[in-house]
Amino acid sequence: MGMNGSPAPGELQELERLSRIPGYWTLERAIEYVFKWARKNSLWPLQYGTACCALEMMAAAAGRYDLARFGSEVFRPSPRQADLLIVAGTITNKMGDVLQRLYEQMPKPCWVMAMGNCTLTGGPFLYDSYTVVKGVDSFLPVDVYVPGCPPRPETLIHGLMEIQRKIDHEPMFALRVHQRTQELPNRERPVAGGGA
Amino acid sequence: MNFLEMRPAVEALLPGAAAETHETQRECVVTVEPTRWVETVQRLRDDPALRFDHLSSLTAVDEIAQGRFAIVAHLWSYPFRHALTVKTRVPRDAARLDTLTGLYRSADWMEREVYDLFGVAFAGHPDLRRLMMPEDYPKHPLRKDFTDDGFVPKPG
Repeated sequence: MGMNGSPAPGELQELERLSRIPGYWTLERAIEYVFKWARKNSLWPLQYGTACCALEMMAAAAGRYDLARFGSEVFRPSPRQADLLIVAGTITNKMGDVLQRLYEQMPKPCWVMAMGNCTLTGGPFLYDSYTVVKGVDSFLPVDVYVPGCPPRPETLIHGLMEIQRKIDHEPMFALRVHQRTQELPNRERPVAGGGA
Repeated sequence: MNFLEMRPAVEALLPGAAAETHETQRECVVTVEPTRWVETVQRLRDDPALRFDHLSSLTAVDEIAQGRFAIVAHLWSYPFRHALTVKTRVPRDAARLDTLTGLYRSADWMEREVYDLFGVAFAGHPDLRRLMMPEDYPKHPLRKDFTDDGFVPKPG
């Protein structure tokens, strides 16, 4: 499986074989409709927050803003049960390795939302900082950027709706290719216990 | 004991050490040679009239123009409720100092922090590893001449 998004061996032949079946494309569209409807209305975010953005995320999930209206209230404490990564808060270089590991543990397809200025560019920690990652899109495939310091819950909900829109507009069966194009080279990871 | 009374008391206890007082900060600062660092702090801790039983802070200052680090310890006495600042200076290119962990357990992480961020090696420290930066990080970010990939200095 190449990193440039080229089809796996035999994948094109498989598609060609399928497309010769009468009614295949109609069936695929019907399946796609149901799957997308299910996916976008039950996004389970990973319960992951590192700074003040996490408080806004909690506020968005709580009664007044009620993220549950968008089918997204089930915050999972395990990445293996989540399909939406809301990067809520400042990510340091040390935490970046943990975050990438969490992303890799999430079952695909999954979506990533960068919430708050820290995750977009480093935000208030851009200058003179020796610890903060200057934008999590340097090692995560970010789908939606939500600016703000921190963003209000309305903004987060808007970001969630954008992800739902994105799920709706992406061709689902080409998603296999799509996910492959988003594989990024591994960050260099520190070896635990290595000398300084 | 206030900071003005502290000065003669400290000078009597530590012959040859330079003590000074700062009116605005209301503090007494005593500067010693790095070779007498541990001995000084121990005498301050064990003196019955001073009894500095708490090391409230240990940090460093990069005096790059003079080519040295100032190591600064803030002592506090719980029984007498008075404070003292103890300072020493080590050269930047041979930044070594004896550890205070034998006197105060709290010196452990403070010295690891100074080691991590300034690169001062504390001889005799039981567990001298980086405290905050990644384990394999090669540099010491609070040195004034620090720079790194992706490090953006503040303009102006």
